[in-house]
Amino acid sequence: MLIRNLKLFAHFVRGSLLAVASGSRGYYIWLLALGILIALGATAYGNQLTHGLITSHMRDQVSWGFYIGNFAFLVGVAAAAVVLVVPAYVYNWGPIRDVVLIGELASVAAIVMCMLFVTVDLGRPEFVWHLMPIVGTPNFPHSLLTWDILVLNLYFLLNWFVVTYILFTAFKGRKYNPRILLPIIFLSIPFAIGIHTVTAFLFTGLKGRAFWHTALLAPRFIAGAFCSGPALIFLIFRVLRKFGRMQISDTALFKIGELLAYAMAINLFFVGTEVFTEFYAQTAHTVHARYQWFGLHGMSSIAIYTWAALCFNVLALIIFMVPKFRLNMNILTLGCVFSFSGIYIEKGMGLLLPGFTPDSLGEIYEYTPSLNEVTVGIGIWAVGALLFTWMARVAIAITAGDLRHATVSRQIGP
Amino acid sequence: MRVRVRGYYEHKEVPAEGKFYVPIACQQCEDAPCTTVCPTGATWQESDGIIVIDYDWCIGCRYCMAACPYGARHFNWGEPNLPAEDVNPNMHILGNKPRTRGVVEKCTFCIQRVREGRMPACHEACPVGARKFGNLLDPDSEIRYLLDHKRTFVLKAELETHPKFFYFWGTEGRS
Repeated sequence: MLIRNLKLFAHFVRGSLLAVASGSRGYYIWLLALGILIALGATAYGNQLTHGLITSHMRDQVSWGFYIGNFAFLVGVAAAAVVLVVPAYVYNWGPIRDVVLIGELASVAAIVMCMLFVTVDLGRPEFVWHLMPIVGTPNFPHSLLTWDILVLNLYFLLNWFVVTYILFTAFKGRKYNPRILLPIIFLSIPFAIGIHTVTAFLFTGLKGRAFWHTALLAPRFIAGAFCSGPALIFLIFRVLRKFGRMQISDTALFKIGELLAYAMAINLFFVGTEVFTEFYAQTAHTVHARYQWFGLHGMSSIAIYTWAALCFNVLALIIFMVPKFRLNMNILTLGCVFSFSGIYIEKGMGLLLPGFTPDSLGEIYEYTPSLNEVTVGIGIWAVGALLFTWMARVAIAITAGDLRHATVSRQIGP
Repeated sequence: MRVRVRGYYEHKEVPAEGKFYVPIACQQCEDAPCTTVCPTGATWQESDGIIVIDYDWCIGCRYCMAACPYGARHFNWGEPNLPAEDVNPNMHILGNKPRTRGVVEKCTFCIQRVREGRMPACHEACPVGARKFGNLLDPDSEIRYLLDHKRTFVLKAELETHPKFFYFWGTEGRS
């Protein structure tokens, strides 16, 4: 039985590799474009490895920047798969189940990107093994960073198992066994909340940084994740429906729009409560929020992004709330673009930079990422897109019935 | 993509009109937030109270810099370029040994000196004797006398990091 399954799994892997190796002209152009971006990113990272993080614009005052901002945002995207998992499996609601598989694939790609963003932020990535158990000395349970690494890896394994299991059983031509799958999916729900909560606690746990030392940070992270993740999955679906032969009903897509209405309303409510608390009864600590919304001493390059994020999110909420807009596929798409970009600003660098500005001694260092940092970041996003493309290709081939054990055996022999 | 800075110390000549100077260094907190957050345990408090970093074990994640409320930790963003003739051969592995690129460093109260019973370099260099250093546990020490008899304060006391770096007014009658 085990031997047979291993043999089948080997076929599954070979079949998957065949599926990603061939495609239309458009597919190759897409791969080429991603390949170029990855090569550019790798070159920029090579430059960083040669000269050090001085190639970034991070300095002692703002010691985390673009990389950790992207990391915090992407943890949210990874966590958001759960939003779709709950209705699909728990309530056994049909149309959205197609959404889940793609959502889980997006999570896997997002976690890989998270790990890459943290790795490129390290001053000495060659010593990353100091974090690992047995060979290293992880400062567990004291350091929240060790918690984050732990839950991210476990969440990655859970998601990876779920998608592999669903696809492998479909490959064998069978239906998945809910008694194996459901407990793991149930487990992945608290983990999704967990990865984002722990990531928020990374910041909340720092008593010297007043801007982040608020109990609202973790709930805000979760609310933001529920806005950015489903929006991204919606956009992916529209693309896959157009280019990827993916069958997905309008009902499922509109359901995402409905979920987004709740998520964005809560997210904006949280923004409002935070703004009220900061500005109605101001303290010395309000200086960070002032920098975030208005700038300080004429240094206000971040303020325009803060207001842009607010506008994007408000527009998104209007689109999600008004049935006439929400049930129009093109307007809903626009809403998802607003939601995703609004949260990218708000939960990425918008959250990070005011925490460091002014710094703990009152110095204002107005950080903007260097070209090298941005190029490395684009490379990582391209890696995520490539990984997702390949996984989605296999998933679509299998769910569409093109990639089955029977057909693969004929192609590659028994 | 320009970077603008408004520093807290931007005068060519000191003292500048209307300014009050507060020299700062690692506060050697009793409850140091920086050591708790280190994911690899590369920084800790020695039994004599000094917070140190193992420069060979630090991976350069800079979480400790985010945790420090005093801006006392510094990162080697580029390749350190201390000329060979300026390197102090009297070294301590947790103190003034040359750091590499990509690790965090900090003040160690000149561990290479104080462990030999000498004073930190800043104490020795100060032309007016404004810095005092000593054993807090020794009831006869000068530092103990100052803490017991002068008006002292610590920075950001509300954070309860319990610094072992105190500020005091040496002149009687002045606030």
